[in-house]
Amino acid sequence: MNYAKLGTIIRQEFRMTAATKAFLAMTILGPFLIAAIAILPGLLAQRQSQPSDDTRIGIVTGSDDVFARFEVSLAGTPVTPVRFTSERDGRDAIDSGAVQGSLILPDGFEGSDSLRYVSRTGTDMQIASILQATAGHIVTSTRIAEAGLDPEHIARLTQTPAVRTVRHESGASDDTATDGFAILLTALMFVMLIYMTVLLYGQMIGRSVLTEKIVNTKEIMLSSVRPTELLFGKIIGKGAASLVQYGVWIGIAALIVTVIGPRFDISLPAGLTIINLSYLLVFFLLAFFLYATAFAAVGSGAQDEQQFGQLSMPIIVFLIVPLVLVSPIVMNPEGALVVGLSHFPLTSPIVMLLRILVDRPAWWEIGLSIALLFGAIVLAGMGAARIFSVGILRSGKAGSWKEMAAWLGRR
Amino acid sequence: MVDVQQVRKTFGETVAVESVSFTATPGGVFGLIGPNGAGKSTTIRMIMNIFRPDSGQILFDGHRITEQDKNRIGYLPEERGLYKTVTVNEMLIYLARLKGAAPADAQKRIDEWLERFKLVDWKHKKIDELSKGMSQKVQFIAAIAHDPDIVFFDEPFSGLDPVSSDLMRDTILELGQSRRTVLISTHIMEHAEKICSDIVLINRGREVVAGPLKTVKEHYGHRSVIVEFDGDRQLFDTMSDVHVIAGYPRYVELRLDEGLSPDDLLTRIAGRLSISRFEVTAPSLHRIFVEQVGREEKDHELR
Repeated sequence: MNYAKLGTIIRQEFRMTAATKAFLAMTILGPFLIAAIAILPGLLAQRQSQPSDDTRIGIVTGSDDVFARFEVSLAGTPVTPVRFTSERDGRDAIDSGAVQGSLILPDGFEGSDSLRYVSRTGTDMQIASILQATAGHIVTSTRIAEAGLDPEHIARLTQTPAVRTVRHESGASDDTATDGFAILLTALMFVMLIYMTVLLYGQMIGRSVLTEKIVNTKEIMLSSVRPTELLFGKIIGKGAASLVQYGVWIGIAALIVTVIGPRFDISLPAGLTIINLSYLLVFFLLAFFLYATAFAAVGSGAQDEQQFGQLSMPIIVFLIVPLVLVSPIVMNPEGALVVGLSHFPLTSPIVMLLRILVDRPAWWEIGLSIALLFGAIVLAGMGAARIFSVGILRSGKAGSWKEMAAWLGRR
Repeated sequence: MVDVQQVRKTFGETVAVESVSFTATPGGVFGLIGPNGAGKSTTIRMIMNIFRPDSGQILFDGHRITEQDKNRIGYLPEERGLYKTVTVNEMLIYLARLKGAAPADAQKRIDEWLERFKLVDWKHKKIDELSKGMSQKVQFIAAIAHDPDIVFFDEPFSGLDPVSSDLMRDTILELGQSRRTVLISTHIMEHAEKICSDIVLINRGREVVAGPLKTVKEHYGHRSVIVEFDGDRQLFDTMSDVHVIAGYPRYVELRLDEGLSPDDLLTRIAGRLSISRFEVTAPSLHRIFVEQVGREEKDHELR
């Protein structure tokens, strides 16, 4: 390895990556984007399922008394009751848009086992459950009163306590302990950050290798440097650019955690601590180098963008698996499968980081995971160098995974 | 000096280069010629140390090529390309530094060459703004910006207009006359004929003809006759002892059978055509190429 030449390639690759508008935009907007992708869908789903404060619902009943009881019970809920005396009127009001749906209450409904709620969408479960609770409350209190008992007394007797989940933290009282849901949000953000940046930079490296073939710079490059110098120059150069980006992001986050948060008394997302940010950086770097070598190998086997996309699929699957498993991992971070995945190099950066955030894996487990990743990076680097040396000069037919495996053995 | 000794290279079952030997010395332009797929590119890649030969060896000034020798070589590959998003100057400096050149020296030479190729205004423009011809000139500069001892130009004239082509030819000749070893590869014989002092013709991975161009011309092929005229070209087709090697409406290159002298031919056509030029000449490289490669192909078919 000629280190002067390697250094020249690293500098050039760094410049070609970092001195672009896209890089600047990504550095500034990245955390917002990732926070948006990680948190918004959850928030949005939650918001959308909250009915708006003034949802007009028809109550079809012939009895003034029944309607009055519904009116009282529904006070304080998002539902505003509108009275109809016949089912036809109730249904017409749905068609005209005056109400979202109508609850049909036949005479003597207190004795019936089921009621009908007719609605425009048939999927407004939140409204249906409010109506169910309200109708249930009215029906049971009527039945209790008919049985000669005091409905309020019964309600007090049957009141159940709510269960709040808090994370056990030594030295912190349960009142100030972090909320599990907040940790989940931080975990999601970290996972999305690693997933997106590893995918982005990995593919950037793969494409950069592919570009050497497409724009035909490979020969002039290889007449000056060894394939391994070119390969590792690209990986390290782009890796350095990604490190700068992470440095900016983590720097800002650390500034918020240590200075801005305490000074302005802003409550920070749970789990956003310096130690967790450090783990994020470590696991990102390990994931980056592992996946970058794999994408580079694939880039040298492909002949065009489309083939590159096809050949990268098996790699991307390993990145997606932990993403899909986020909630099982968070719910059961000590399950055998999760522990296994947190040591398997292709999934461990994300899974181990998740375990660190929600659980407290033993230090040796974290150490083992990092050591295995190191080992995998060295092996993948050696393999990629072999594949790259053969693949970079190939033209015509695309390499397959089978062929690339065969190139591993070629000298 | 580059000394290629019986190199051989196979890829799996395919023999890309069977046996090629030649010696290129400083002070002239050495031509590596051959049809497409003859094994030229593989030979060049072995010289460039991109591939290692299966057998045989390549010596640079008497020693086996090492990784360090790469810095002494300049290379204009046939498959050309530059990074599209960087500027002309950035690309040139980058490639020169990869050849171990000091940035300041490289910059000085790059500026001189940009001046010479009238590309000064494009120095800080992005590569993807260049025309094909300009891009080719930039690649040419990339091959020589580190002041190499040995330069290899693979199809240096492709894609150039006549003015640029002449400029390129003069520059290559100049480089050849300096202390450098200059090799070119081409399948356009007219170019090779104009600038090469020595050639090796390879076909199907083997050398077919090699040596100084003058000797090759004397040794292979008979003298030919060039006639420029006004009149019916068909006249030559009717003569059984005259063979048209290259024929155009007012120009023919002819090979005469043993018994027929150029004087006899002149007597025969005088008065029947209006002759503006009648020249007895050594056979063109084009003809030697066509004949030798044609014979090889025929032998191969018979085998």
